[in-house]
Amino acid sequence: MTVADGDARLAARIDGGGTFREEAGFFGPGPQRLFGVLHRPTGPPLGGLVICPSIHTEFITGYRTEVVLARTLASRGLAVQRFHYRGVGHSDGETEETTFATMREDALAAAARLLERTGVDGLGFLGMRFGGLVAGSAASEHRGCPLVLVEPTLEARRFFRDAWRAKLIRDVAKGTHARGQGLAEALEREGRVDVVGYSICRPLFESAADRTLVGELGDGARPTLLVQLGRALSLRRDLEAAAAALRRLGCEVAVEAVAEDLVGWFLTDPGRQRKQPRALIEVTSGWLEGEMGAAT
Amino acid sequence: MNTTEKEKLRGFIIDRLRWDGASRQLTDDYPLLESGVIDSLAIFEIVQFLEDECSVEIADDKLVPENFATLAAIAKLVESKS
Repeated sequence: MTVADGDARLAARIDGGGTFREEAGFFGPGPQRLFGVLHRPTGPPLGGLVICPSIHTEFITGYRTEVVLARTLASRGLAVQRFHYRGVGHSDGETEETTFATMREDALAAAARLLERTGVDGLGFLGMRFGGLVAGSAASEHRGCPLVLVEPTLEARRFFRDAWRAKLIRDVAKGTHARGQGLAEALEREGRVDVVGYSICRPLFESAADRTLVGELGDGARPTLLVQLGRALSLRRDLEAAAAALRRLGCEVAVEAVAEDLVGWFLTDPGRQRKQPRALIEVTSGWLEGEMGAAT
Repeated sequence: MNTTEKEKLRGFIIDRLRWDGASRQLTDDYPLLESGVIDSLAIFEIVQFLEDECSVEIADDKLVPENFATLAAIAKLVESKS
């Protein structure tokens, strides 16, 4: 059901079951508008969560998961703010102008909007893949807030390397030889490169490449859920090391390996993501309910 | 690439990638790319598998078709990095 809203920039609707309401629209403090959707329970929310999406092809392959997760959480009492970074999706701005700093600002603007629209006290962040870096960085501005990291990028340089590899590997599968240059060299020369239909631009690469998840979190202790996706049920070594590093920062870390087939996201056909990732949603919402007091 | 690692890779292809035949049919010289057993996503996963299980780093310039054409070719690639 579509409903009228006093704010002309918003389109709002209430779901068929009447348990949550969605407000889609533009917001943000600057001249460039951010697009976002606020999923809010019809009753007073028990807490709020900002979802920071990944970028490039993963913005698409993770999209459905984020929508379903947001709706599930809203139906259980949490207000959830999704958004598009400037230069991405429906938000204003050019891809060439997106930097890690603008992405962090956008996540914080989304948090501010969530707080303003709902008046919730408790706030948390969730980041998918590269969005994990952004969520971690934004969470450092909100002392002690819960943080969910789904297959987080631990080192931005590795994320870009994997993206570049996706391009090269596609060439391999097509039977054509890969180019003999690296991503950094290609960006230096051309300013932007195409990876499976999406551009990686030099400003984002240069502003993000040296960042790590642990570095972005600073020294703030917080409850943290680390989620590994894939077919392996034992924890990968890199995530084990990340969990240990977060514990050294004083974080209370829970780790879950979820058997969802979402590996190799750069190369995953978005059509494969139509199936609802139920296990991921259950693990994530269960943990958030415990941390933020949502109703089961 | 030692025998154990090669068998792990064979098991990885059989269990996790698109291998429909009997395991004994996946010989060292079976044409993986040409027959469509592995696609771009599978190569991505194999590269991650090799780096995790064999503790090697596969350089970008090694991502060429001949290095992924067969199990033997992949083993040779890993050996060259060891």
